[in-house]
Amino acid sequence: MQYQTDAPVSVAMRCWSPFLPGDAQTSMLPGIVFEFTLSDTSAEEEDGSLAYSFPGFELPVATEESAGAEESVIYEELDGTLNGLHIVSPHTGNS
Amino acid sequence: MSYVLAAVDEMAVRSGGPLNADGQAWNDVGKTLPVPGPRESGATVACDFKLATGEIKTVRFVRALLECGCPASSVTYLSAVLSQPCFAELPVANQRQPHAIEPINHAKNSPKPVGSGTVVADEAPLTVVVPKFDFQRL
Repeated sequence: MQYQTDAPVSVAMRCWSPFLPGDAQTSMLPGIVFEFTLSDTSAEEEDGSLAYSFPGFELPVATEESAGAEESVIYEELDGTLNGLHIVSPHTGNS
Repeated sequence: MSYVLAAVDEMAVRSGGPLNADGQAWNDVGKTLPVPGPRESGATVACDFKLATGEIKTVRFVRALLECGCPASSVTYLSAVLSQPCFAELPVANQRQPHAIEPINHAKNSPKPVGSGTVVADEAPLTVVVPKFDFQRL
């Protein structure tokens, strides 16, 4: 997908999920990769930020009994091949 | 329920809470990311870039759910998958990206309406060549 923008940096995106014929375990991975290609089409050096935001999964409605349960959502920083966040919640349900 | 939101093989990555529909938060992405609220499970990751004229950079983000009963329920496994040569090198992507970033000529490619309910594509008629086949030789 090619974004139409007036910015001096051209932006294209393609997204895919791992699929390897014969490798069912990898191919069933419930993940998606968003691959952005940025190109400086101007005559000058350009800098900027590329952000990806996800609204998260739905948390259960807080009640008096569950007060404080929302604190159990854990934001764990990742560093390595994957650099970002691992968000963990004991809640199950809609995502 | 858990998930990973991360950039793949990027060194300088900032992370924070979800931007949602907060215009000011989107406007400030270059400087700071919001702190996640007590009733939030969303997240944002951001990569800063600097490009010289004509330079091309590829950034990959991954989002993966890690609880669905499948054996892929670990960050380590996800990292290993994305580190495989077939995903790291992306030969298909390298072939297609130069075309993907070319400007699209919508004026040329868009169909033109010529009347109510009638659309004619602005392309030359397709010529189909059917080779002759000698069935007697079978």
